[in-house]
Amino acid sequence: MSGDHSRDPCPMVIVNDFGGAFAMGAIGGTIWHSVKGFRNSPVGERWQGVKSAVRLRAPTLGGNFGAWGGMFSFFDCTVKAVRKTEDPWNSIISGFLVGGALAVRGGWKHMRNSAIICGFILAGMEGAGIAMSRMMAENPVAPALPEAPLAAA
Amino acid sequence: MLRIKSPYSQCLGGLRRLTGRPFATSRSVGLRQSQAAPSQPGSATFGASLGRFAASARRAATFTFYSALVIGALGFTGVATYYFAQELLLPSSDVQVFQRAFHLIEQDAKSRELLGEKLKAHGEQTNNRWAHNRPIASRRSVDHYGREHVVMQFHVDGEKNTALARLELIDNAGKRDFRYLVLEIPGHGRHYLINETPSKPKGRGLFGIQWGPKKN
Repeated sequence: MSGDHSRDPCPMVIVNDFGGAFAMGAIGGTIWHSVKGFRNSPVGERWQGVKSAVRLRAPTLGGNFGAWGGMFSFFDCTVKAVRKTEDPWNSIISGFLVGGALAVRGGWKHMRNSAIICGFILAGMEGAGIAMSRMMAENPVAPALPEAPLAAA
Repeated sequence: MLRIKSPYSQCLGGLRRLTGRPFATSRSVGLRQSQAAPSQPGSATFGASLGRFAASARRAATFTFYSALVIGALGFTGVATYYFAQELLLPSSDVQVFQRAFHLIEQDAKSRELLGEKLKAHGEQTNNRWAHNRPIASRRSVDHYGREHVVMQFHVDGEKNTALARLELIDNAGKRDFRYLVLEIPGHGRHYLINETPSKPKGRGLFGIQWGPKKN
């Protein structure tokens, strides 16, 4: 009934993640800036205010989110290829690299601070994800116990 | 009656003289001025004290709400930190066992010969689009000696073949040893890297029991 919801393999998944993050940023930005535009406009001009605020600001937010998500996925694939294993450390290292990469314009100090903060945020998110899955008792597939040892063929 | 004119009442009185009609809220000016009059329903001071009570009740409610929010968020941060440390930092966690086992597989010459040179390890496929890593399947149990058993499986991909790696690790109060670490390769059977599974001795006599006096 439900289609194939699994992730694409690594190079193609960067496009997917960029698109997903852009969509989230654009839709979230639309909602946020429409409320802001509505509230900051005089009565009678409210609809105009909403339209102009959304037109001006929402694409920027979408682009920012998309840049973050696309870069994160890019670094995630890179780290997976370098480390050759898949574990939660990949996300944390990718977050660290994204934080640094998106702050390049600010110089070394800003890059370092931004990288550390982003790494910590992702570590917190990984911990929260593990906590949520533990609390909702979603066990990944438990391994079947092997039968009696067979001789190698 | 003492007539203390506050600036407020003076303004009101002035406006009243200007417009020539009393306001809806104006009461007898003398009663409003008197500080000693008790608060009774229908008098202005009762309304003022009710307003002060409402304001302080609102302040208390917002303070309680925000305090609960901050404490709840700190608590959740603590829980997330605990699970982070348990899953990623402790040497007995799934991630560390997985890394150790994969390291052993990478160094083993026979595995490299069977699977190819470039090895990659991953867990089980999920249908979750947002999961970045494939989670490792593992099961933990504690036996009656108090040792923890970790049974785990993961997939190892090489150029020539894909294998299923299975392992059991026993955590005996800090000493973590593999009981077995085996690669199951379709078409090549099993390749044991470590095999310390205790086996029952084969009984030779009737019903498996060795009758008679001890031989050795």
